[in-house]
Amino acid sequence: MDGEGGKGGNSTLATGNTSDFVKKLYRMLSEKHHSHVVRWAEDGGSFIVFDNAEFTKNVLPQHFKHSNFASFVRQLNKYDFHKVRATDESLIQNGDQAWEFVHPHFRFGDDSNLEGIKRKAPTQRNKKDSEEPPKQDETREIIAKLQARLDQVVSQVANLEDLYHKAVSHMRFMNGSGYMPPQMHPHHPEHEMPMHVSPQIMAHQMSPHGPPPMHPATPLQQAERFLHQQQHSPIPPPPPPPHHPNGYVDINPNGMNNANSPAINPSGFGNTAAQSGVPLHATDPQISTTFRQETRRPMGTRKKSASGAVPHWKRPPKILLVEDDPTCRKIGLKFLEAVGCLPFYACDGLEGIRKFQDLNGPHYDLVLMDIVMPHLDGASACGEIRKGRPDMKDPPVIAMTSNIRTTDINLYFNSGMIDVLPKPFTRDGLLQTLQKWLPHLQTNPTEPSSKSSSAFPAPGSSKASNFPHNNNNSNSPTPNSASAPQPPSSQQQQQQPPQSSASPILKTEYDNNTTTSHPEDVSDDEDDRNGQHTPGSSVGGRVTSSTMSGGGGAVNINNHPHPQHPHPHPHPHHPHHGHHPSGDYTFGEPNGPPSGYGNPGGSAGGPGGAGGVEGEMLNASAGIYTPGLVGLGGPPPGGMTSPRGGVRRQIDAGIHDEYDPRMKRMRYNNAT
Amino acid sequence: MSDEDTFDLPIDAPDYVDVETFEQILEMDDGDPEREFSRGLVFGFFEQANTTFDEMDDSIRKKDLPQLSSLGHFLKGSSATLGLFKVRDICEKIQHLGALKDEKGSGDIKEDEALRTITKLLPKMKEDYTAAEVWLRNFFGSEDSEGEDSNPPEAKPKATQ
Repeated sequence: MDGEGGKGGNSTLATGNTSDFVKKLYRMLSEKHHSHVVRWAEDGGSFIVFDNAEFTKNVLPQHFKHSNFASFVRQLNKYDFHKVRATDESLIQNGDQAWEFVHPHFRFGDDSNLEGIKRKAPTQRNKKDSEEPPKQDETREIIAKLQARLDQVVSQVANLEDLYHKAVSHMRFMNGSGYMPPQMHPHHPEHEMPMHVSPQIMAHQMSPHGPPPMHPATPLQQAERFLHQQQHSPIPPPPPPPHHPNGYVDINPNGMNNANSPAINPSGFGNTAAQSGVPLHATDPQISTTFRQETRRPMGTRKKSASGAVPHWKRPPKILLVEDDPTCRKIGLKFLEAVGCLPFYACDGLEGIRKFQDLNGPHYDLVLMDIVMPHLDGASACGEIRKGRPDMKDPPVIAMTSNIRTTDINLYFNSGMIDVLPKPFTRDGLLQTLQKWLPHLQTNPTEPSSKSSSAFPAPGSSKASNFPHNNNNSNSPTPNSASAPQPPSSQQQQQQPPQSSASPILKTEYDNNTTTSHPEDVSDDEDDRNGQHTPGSSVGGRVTSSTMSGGGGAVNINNHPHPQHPHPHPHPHHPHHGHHPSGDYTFGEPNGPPSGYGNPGGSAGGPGGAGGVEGEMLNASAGIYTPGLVGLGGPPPGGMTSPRGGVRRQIDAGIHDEYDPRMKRMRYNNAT
Repeated sequence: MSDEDTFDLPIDAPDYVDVETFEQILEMDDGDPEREFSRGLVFGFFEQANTTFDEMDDSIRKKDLPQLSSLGHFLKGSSATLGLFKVRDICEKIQHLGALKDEKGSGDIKEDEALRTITKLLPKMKEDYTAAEVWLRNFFGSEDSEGEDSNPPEAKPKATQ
């Protein structure tokens, strides 16, 4: 109290930035006529509500337009007032009904400090301000890392184990298929792609319609699946079995240029880096180990969202939200939080890349990427990310956008995005997407529902057949030179009739399975689908497709490349054949397991009752699509053209630029 | 969401917001009677919108159609997020027009036509926006009347030191 007491009564209060609440509070205390109910304490350093009931009934309405004492108190708390604990003395003095509140800047006769009384950052109910999650997240991150380090020894054992398994399965795989590393070369193009493409992208940064950089799904994924089967690691599938042993490494020279990524990562299978001993971020092996651990070993659910249906995550998925619009960002972060995730954010593509590649940053399980952003658009950012992490599921990058035209969607896929979350998104839509792509983090993975918001499924499923058609017919040279990029070696090494043989890989897989080892492969597949693997892992053809879009649409896009390839070689891996076989095996039948998987709902749409999207796709592919799988070796770039056409049609048919979220959702479902 | 029905939106809500979208946001308040989260979001949007309007006006003066398209897109995103469908729809049109497409984004149009149309749309958008802002401010209550409409879950004030 500074002795200016006299001023207290009449002061008009410094206008400035003093909050209305504080002004009103001050004014209220300046009024003498209810001083028996509420007034300054003797020393002027606090104020006291003597008669709660009276205060609520008569004073509050006068000054605060409500009569809710609890609200009043909450307000006070919010402005950092504290209740003064009653002492014996105060009890005697003020009675036991008194509530005394204090704030260091709130003093009788001194309104000069009132501006200093600010609303606290929200803490109580919403633990984290949506814009602030990173702070707490950082803490968690640190904790997580520490824990991980403690477990490092254990994890190393796990690593060795994995390596062992991988090696074994790889050997099997190779033996069975006669698969040669060289064959893998076809992948190269993929890896290269980012490089070639990216420049373009950069040029077109702001224009979503810029030339799409191609980024086909990885053949590896197919292989991955295969490995999976062999390992019988059905349930919470550990991140996909790493591949790098396959010698993909050689890819590096070709495709990866610099910095970001140790080319090796190419294999892209989640933990590869750690396992291979090639840290994702080359510099810090430890970190990668950590990541790996986290991925594999759930730390238990740390957080639950307040609202209803929250999945049981083994650990909160770490999601990087790249979004320039503050409103969208806030709500996005909030939704993420609400569904039990650990959200992080970046405000544009460049920042997104930076954060993603930050060696000290978290290992994100999934990236939600806005498309139109200043500095660097989302597609380009994703392309950049994919340079270092070619596996489209490592991590999945989901486009968030209201631009869902065909050309747009093609661009997204081509840049390495795996799905699209139409804006404005809903909590449920978000959740479904997360569940779809993070099955391995769920304790009770739910099947991706038809509802899954991705646009992809719809296109693919609905008109898959068309696609293939186009493909077949389109032997036309690929516009893109994508095929060219392929390492000569690969082409030379294996020559396969483009169409007929499809992908050796898949084929081999099947052969292996059938003949060799796992009679139950089929069932395994099912498991995979239903369970975790779904999104990424599907059998050959499917794999690709799933990879790309989770739905048929994407697949198509990728597929195209193949057909167009002048050189069939690249495709050797292609599931092409694989598809057929697979189709026959598993999904071929309408009733096939596949149906269950993809998007049951959507697929259901398929009149045939054919299985889910997958089923349809497979069928389609079996019938029409010769060329083979999409993503695989196919020279992605080249293929683009025809596929687009197909996709576009599909999309147009099913999706319009309507923004009513409900409509959209419905459409997707129907389309599928 | 089970608690969806508890928001007590004014009966005229559908005139201003997409109720489903808006409720999803309110839901994120998680029962907070003061709606800190949604309030912050909405009030933040006000600033954002006003800034964007200024930039749009500026772009009109400069006949910067690409920028108009971009701004339209930007505001479309946030208005859609909040469920302000009227603003969203106009923003979308502006996005298309700025890109020299017709309002629906299909046919091509000429620059002067685009500018002309956008110039006509802007006041309408501001009008719609203002109506929505007023409605929203009213809904959330201005700062000083906070808590007015609260129905505190806890019986007991939790003022603790």
